[in-house]
Amino acid sequence: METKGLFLIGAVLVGGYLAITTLKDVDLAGVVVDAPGGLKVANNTPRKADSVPEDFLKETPYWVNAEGPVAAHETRPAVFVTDAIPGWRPADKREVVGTIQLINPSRNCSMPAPVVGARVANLFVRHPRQEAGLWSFAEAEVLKSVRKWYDGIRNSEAGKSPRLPGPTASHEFKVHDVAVTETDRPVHLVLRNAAAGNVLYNIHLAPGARVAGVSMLGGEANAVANLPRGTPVAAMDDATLRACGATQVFARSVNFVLEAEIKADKLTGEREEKARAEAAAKIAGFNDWFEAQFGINADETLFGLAFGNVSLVGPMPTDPDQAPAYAPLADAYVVAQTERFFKVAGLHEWPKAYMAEVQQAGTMLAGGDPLTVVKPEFYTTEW
Amino acid sequence: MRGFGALGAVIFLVPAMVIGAMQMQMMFKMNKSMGEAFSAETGPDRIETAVAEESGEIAFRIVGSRGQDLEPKQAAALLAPATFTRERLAQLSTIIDPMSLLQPGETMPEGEMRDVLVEARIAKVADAACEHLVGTIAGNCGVIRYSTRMISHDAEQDPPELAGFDGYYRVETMAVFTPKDSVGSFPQTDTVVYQEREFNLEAWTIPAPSRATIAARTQEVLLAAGHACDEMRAVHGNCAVSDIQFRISRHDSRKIHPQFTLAYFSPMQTSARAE
Repeated sequence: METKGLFLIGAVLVGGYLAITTLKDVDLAGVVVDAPGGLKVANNTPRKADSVPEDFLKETPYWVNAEGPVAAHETRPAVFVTDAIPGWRPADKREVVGTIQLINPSRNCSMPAPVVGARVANLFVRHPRQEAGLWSFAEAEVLKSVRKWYDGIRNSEAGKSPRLPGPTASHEFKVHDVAVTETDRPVHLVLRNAAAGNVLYNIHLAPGARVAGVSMLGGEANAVANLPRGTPVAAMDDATLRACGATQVFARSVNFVLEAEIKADKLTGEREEKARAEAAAKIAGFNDWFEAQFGINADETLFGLAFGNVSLVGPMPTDPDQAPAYAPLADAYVVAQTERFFKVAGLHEWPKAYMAEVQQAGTMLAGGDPLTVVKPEFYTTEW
Repeated sequence: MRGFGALGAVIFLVPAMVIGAMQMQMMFKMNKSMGEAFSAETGPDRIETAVAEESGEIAFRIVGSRGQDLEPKQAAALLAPATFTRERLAQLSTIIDPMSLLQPGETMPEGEMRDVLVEARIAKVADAACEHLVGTIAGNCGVIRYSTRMISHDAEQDPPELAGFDGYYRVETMAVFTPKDSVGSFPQTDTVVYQEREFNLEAWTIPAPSRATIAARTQEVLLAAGHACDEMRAVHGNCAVSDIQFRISRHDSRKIHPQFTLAYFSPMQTSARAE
C-alpha cells in the first residue's frame, strides 16, 4: 500500500515535470501569454508560423466553432485575434471595472431603431471562455439555494449545522471582445447571446470608428464595456423575447435538428410536413420581428464563432496605427442589464456574496435563524 | 528530445492515473461498506435490541393472521412500547392560513417566496401534531417528516366550494410515538397471533379551511382510537395503536379521511390449528 502510494506520487511528479518541459518547447506564436497574474490564455491551441485562420475552425452541424486564436468576421471565415486587436490579451476576472450603469431590459417588445445611416452588424456569441469579475443571478436561484439549505437543516443530525449552499451554476459574466474598425459610417451592434448565461461584450474601437448604438439580445444578463459614454444601449433577455413571441432562433440549428429527425424516421408524412411548417414559422417569426427592429434579415446577416473570444466588425486592419488598441476591463465604463442580484469584483467576494444573499433571504423567510426555526427531522439518530 | 519528453510523460502518467483510480475505487468500496454497517446499526437491529430490552426473552412464537411466522421486531408496536419504531406511525394533516405564520409587522411575499416562507415556518405546525398525540394517546412523540403544499383551486375543474381554500396550505406531518398507556399483558400460550385491525372512519367534509376545526376533529379521532384500544385491551388483554392517519384528500381539500389501526396479540386457537 505504501509502495503504491510512493510510486503514485513519484510517477505524477516525474510525469508532470516531463509534460511541463515538453510543452515549453511548443511554438506559441500568435498567442498572448503575458496575461496579468500569469493567466492561461483562453484559446490556447498553438499557432504555427504557417497557420491560416481556417486551421482553427471546426464545422459542426449547428455552428462553426473557434478552436484557436481566431476571431469571427463578417466576410471572412475568420481572422487571427491579434490581427484584429494587436494587443489582445484574455480578460482577467480580477480586473475591477470603473463605473457601471444599470439598465432595465426593454419590456415593450421593441428595441430602439438604429440611427439612420448606421450599418447594422448582426453578431452572435456562444460560450465565450474569458471570465469577468461580474456576476448576475436571479431570485429563483437564491430561493433554490434557500430550499437546499432548509433541506440540509431538516436532514441534519441534531446539533449539526449544514453549510450554506453555494451557487449551483456559473453566474459569472463571460467576456467576448468586439473590435470595431468600420470608419466609413457608424455601426449599430446587434449582439446576440446564443447561450443561456451572462455575457459581457468588451468593445475595442479603432481610431475613427464609431458605435451609434448597441442592442443586446438573448441570455439572462448582458453587459457592454468600453463604449463612449452616452452611446445608446438597449437589451432584451431571452425571457422577454419569448414573452414577446420572438424567441431567438438560429435557422442553421433549427433546420439541422429537423432534418436529423426526418432522417431518423422520427417524422414522416403529415408529421414531417407539420414539423417543417412549425420550424419555418419559428424562423420566420423571429426573422420578422428582427427585421422590424433592425431592418435586416436575422439569418442572412448573422456571423460569429461558437467558443470564440473575439469578433471583428469592419475591415481587417492593415496599418497598426489604424488598429484598435486593447481596452482593458480595469476601470472600464460598463452598461449592464442584470437579473435581480448583481455582484462586482472589488465590491464583492465570490462566492461569499452569493452565500450572503442566501443567508439573508433564508433568515428573512424563516422569520429568524433557520437553524432554530427549521427543525431537523428525526431519522437514523433518533429512531 | 521533445518526443522523448512526451513519451516519458505518457509512460509515467498513465500507470499513475490507473493506480490512482484503483486506489480511489478501493476507498469508495470501503466507505460504502462502512455506510451499510452504520445503517444496519441504526435500522432494524436497533428495534431488535429494543424488543429484547423491553420485553426480555420472548417465550412464545409469533405468527401473523395467516399463520406465517413473524420476527419479534415485526410486532414492535406491542413489544417495544418505549421505543420509536416504524411499527407505530401517525400521519396527521391540517390546513393552515399562511398569514398565521407571519410575525407582527411582516408582510407576505408573493409567488415562490411565499412557498419558501411557509416551508421554513411549518415546523411549529408539525410540532402541534405531536402535541395532539401526546395529549391523547402518546407518551412521547417525534416528528420524522413534514411537508406542505399550497392548495390551488382550478376554477374549471374543481367544485366552486373549493374556491375558499385557494392560497391555503396543506401540511402533512409524519410522526413516531410511544403509547401513553401500558400495552397490557400478553397471552400465556406457546404461540400468539399478531393481529391488526383497521378502523376506517367516515370521511368528513369541512365547509371552510379552519385549522381549529381540523384540530378539534383530530383530537376526537385520536381519543376514539385510544378508547377503541382500551376496549380491545379489555377483551384481549393487550393493545397498541400501530397506525393512525388523518389524511386530507389531495383532490378535494374539503374531505378528510380518518383511520387507525390497532395491534394486539391473541392466543393461537389450538383446535383451529388442528382443523
